[in-house]
Amino acid sequence: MTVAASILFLTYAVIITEKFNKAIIALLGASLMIFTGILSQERAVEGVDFNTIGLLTGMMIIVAISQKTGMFQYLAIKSVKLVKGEPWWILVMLALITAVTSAFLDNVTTVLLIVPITLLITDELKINPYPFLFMQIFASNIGGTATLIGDPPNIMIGSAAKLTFMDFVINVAPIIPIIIIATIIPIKFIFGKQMVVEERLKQGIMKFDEREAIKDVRLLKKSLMVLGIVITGFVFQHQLHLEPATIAMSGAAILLLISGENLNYILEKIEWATIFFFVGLFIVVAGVEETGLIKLAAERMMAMTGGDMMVTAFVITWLSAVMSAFIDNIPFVATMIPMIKGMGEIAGSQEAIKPLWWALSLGACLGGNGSIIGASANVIVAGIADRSGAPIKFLDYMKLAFPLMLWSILISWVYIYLRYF
Amino acid sequence: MYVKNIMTKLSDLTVVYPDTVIKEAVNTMLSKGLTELPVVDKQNSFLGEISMRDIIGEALPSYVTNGNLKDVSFAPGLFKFDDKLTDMMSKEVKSAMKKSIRTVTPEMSAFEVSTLLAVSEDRDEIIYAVEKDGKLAGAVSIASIFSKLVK
Repeated sequence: MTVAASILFLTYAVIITEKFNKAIIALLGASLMIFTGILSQERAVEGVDFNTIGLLTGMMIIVAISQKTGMFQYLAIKSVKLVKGEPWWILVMLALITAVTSAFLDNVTTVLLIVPITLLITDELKINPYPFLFMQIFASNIGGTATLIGDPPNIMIGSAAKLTFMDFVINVAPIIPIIIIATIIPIKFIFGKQMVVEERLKQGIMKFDEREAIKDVRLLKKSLMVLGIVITGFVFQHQLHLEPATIAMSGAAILLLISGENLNYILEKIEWATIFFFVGLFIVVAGVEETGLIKLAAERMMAMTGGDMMVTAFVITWLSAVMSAFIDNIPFVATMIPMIKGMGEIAGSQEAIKPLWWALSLGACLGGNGSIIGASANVIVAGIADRSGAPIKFLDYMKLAFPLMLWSILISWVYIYLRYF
Repeated sequence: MYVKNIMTKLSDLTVVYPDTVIKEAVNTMLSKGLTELPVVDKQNSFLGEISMRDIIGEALPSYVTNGNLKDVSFAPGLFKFDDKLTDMMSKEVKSAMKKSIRTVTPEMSAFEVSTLLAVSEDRDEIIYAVEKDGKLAGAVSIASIFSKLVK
């Protein structure tokens, strides 16, 4: 048990230093679990959640193909022209697009698509891009929380706890618009005064032609069709008796077939580092689980909270939020999942612990907003901004982001409390 | 045949210095029908090259040059690009010159330099020949291959 705990601790500690690619460290940790005899090879493979892997890979393929159509650029420019180039409303529109896109695609892809366009727009308006980028980081993490496929923690939770796409839509999504609005309002007070530009510059934006952004109308139609089928599949997942991974992978296969895209080229676009990170991590956690350590932790936590679900949910919400602000929420959630499952076994009912899953989802996903290293989307935005000569400083970001994150967690907690207790 | 047999010799090249104003360098390129010039110091030691392509690259936003935004067909123009390009013209060559570029020695075979010009990944229009002591010796262009090698 101590050996397993040490491997887990060591793996996480090295991941936190960010000295090496986290996928390599997770795979090394996984190897250690097998070498030390804690896990047999068969148990290690069983520990890998192939639903998470399949869903991630399938969605990555669909996104790699559909982003070539230029539909996101089209949406962004169309919306910017809709608000007549008015900077504050551009910020709001781009935030909404980011949130909605993030709910269905992964956050990193979303910001990779939206941030360059945003910088182009703020360049053209000769205005500071910071408030726009700040809001987009928040919007991508908040939007991603809304659905099963929006953020990796939700994918993992959904798969492990057998929660469907609609479970997330019914239980998590309703609070998301409120959190978005509750974030935009303080942003308006803080940055609203900066949002003035000359009429001439607005006219420059109005000259943008969104129709030019659509490169391939036939590919666009095919992508939209497959995306539509896949999302419909998710909605009726329960009735279809299909796992999300099956739906996403089938969609990916269909799109590969009808789009005629080069398979090797598209496969190169998959973030294999992320996929292997998951594989390694699942095995590490499986090793710790095997030794009974996680069950023990679950028992301890239940003893501490006196088995009171409300207190447990409270602890999980806030703990996940603060932890996820500084460490990768994926390993955190990977460890919490068997622990919460263990609590379900102790409580004797998986139904009773359902609020705990929502607490974990909201806490871990929204917590990522708290610092510039809190979520991968944040790091990507900071990277692009840095190279464009508009760096986002760690403390500058945190000064505003951490309180705003706590504010969103407070709203989430009130929601969980009122709805489930 | 070697590079030294086919290259345009230093005496026939136009060079610029790191503190040459870009506008002046560009005017030289325009009048000579070139798109790039070698940059040397007063002792003719080779420092790098300045090209029209790199000047434009400097003026473009970084999210375009490093490929984050692959397609800009929807934007008829960008004020910042126009401003920055105008701005660049009054700066010195050192602000847009490329320093670490591939060079060859005058002793390299003409065959090898042909492969560098035609096959290798970062295709150059012109490759500079530099002596062992770092002095610029001459330049080989695609045209040199045809005018000197194929006759």
